[in-house]
Amino acid sequence: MRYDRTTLANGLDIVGEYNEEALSMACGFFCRTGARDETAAESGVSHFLEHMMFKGTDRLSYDDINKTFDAIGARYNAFTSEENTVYYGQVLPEYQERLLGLLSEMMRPALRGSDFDMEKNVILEEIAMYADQPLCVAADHCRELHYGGHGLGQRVLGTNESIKALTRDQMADYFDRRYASDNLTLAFSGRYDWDAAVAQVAKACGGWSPSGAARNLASVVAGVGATTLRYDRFQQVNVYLMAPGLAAQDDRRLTASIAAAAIGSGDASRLHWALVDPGLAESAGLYHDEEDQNGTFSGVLVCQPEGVERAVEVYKAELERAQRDGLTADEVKRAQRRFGSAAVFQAESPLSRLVSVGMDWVYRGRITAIDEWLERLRAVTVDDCNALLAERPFDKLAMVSVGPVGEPSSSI
Amino acid sequence: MANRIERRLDNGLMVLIEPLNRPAVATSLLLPTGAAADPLGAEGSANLLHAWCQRGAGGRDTRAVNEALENLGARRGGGAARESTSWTLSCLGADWSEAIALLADTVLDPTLPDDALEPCRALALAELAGLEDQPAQKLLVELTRRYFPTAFGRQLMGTVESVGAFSADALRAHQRAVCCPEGAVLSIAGGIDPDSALARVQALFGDWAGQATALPPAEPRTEPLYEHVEATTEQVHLGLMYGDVPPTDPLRYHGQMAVQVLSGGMGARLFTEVREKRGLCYSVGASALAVRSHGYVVVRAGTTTERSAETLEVMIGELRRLPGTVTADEVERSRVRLLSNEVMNDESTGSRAGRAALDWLWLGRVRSPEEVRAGIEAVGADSLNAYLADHRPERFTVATLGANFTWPAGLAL
Repeated sequence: MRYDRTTLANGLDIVGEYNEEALSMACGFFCRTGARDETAAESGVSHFLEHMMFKGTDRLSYDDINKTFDAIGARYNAFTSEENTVYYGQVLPEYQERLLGLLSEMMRPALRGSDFDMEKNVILEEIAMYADQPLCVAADHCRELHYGGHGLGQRVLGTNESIKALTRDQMADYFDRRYASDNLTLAFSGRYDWDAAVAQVAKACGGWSPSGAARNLASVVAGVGATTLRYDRFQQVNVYLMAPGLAAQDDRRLTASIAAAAIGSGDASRLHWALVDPGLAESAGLYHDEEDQNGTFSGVLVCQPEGVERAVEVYKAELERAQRDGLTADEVKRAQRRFGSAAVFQAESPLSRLVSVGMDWVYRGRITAIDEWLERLRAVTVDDCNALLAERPFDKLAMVSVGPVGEPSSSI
Repeated sequence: MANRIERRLDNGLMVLIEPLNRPAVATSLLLPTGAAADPLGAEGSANLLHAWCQRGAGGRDTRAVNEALENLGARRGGGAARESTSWTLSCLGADWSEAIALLADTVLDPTLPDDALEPCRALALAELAGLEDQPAQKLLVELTRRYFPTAFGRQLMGTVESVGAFSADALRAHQRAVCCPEGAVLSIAGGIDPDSALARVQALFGDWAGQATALPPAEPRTEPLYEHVEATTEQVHLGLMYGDVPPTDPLRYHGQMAVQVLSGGMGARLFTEVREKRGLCYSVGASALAVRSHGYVVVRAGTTTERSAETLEVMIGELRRLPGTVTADEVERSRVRLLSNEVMNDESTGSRAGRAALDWLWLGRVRSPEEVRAGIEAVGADSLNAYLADHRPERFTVATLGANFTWPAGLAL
């Protein structure tokens, strides 16, 4: 492994993790923007813009872009979250120049009005698709409850209303503010040619301007409570739970992930034994998600309507037991081993490594090698986990249930 | 690096070992039995047994086995499919020898305790209920059931009635009848010494005995069919299936290439015509599927009611337009995509182990990278158009699921 890094005069960071064992290379632009950076009137613009970036530039049509990706055999796509928008591709090393040329060119889109109007339909279809998925419905509402009015609670897709009302000019204005050279990182992984890449990027992206794009990093005041949304068209009850966790910049974030995994990941976790093993729930899990200067524990519970009260009671009792009595050393050790093996398998693919490398840089301004990460993983102790749980994060629990249960008055 | 091993044990179990210079090891055990072998009235047996086998084995209870696996950082997975059942194991090389013993216990010596059957049944029923909340998956189930009117078209999880009626003794008898080494493949790839791995497999699996009865033939539908399933959903889900050559046919690369032309990337025909030019939906695509004796293609899209009839019309129009119109550019893009995919799949240890096992199950041998490459390279625009003239996308089985769908006027099947 070798680590590369440079910054262009306009503030564009370029970073890479070179792996000569890899058979392919991957690269991607990481834009530090997402739903949390939108005004209420712009809700959904980050994600809609991500679609529009594939629609072409002054020189290229959508068809040119799509066919070029296909012609170089790329695995490619993009995703938008509450705070990051990422465009990536993975190719055999001989196609690096064409992939990089295409991605760089795409970052300066035409945003044509006719494409905007056509793609609006696709976004509305995507919203309809997720509206058919009860866990997504529960997660959306739970985020709103947990984050209150904070930007992190805004929906990535926006709503039917916000998307219908959005104009092309609003999007262009958002683009100018957020897709500036100093708000972007270009990351590489696998078997890439660093010198060629830097020379190419300097030429293609050196003329972009910085904007000093900022982000509102106000702290979250975690909302507490439980809501049931009655949907008679769903068969099962999907419950989403959230509680405050640790930020991407917090050294204890790995401790939080291990504690969450011991409680709720895999076939030997506490939630598995309490809920899935006896058949009380189809699935029950707990995870830790890190965000920019914020973090959350997120839980999922899926069960049959007749068993939901008992299942929720058992789930909450396990959270309480964990923060009251702590975890055992064996449980922590198992969670560490689970993460360690998963990381080794994950590192086999330059594409999955790219996301880790890019996010590491965006959040922390450094790249952690797998070996160093594994050492840090092993260094976490049961006492670390129990000290964190003793702070009682699950006292501030937000919970939303979606399914054929609850008062008709809460029906949607 | 040591050489790969292909060895058939005396009991019929085929062992494939590919040593690789990396820390991870992936193991895939494929049994030549699945939902198509479930007894009549006991549909879902293979699926339920896969879960029940994970409730303790080798004299240890569920907790002891699961904790032992997790102590090793090992993950056990897999599931029952139509004509096969898989067991997978991922772990690091240093832990493989211990972890494989736990997998061997799970498959060869499961406890199948009475008191764990009810929770397994409850979870299977919950899965069935969950399917109703996943309209895209539900459509696939409904479509497959119509495409294969035989046992191959069964819902893998069974039905509420069949799952409700399972008896412990009948399930145990079925497990004894189908879980046999003859025709099964154990494929291992990653950071292990192949000779000691083979010795370990011999010690753990060598005494396994038996031969499963042959599966019934697949017998897909040969005449067109359309049926609608009414459901309360935001989107209407559209799907169709049609036949292609089986994976044993040397022309399989032509079939794969045709699916690439339709749906290989965002520049392929379906995405371009349905989404890019008309903005009709978010997701549309075609995939090549297969059982050993039969290859088939599934094409799917999800869209709101007002756009659904046009979406189906465009989808079917693109399939009918395909023969004779494939260009050299399209073949070139598809060729690079398929060849690149081969290389990128090879980066994954799990994909290597799984691919070798499936090759063996279908072909009775493992294709070399050179053979696959040559197969892809041999497809040109002329040969693909000639192939499509002989293997036209037609005689579609079509299913739609959602609210208020109206079949497009003037569209004949």
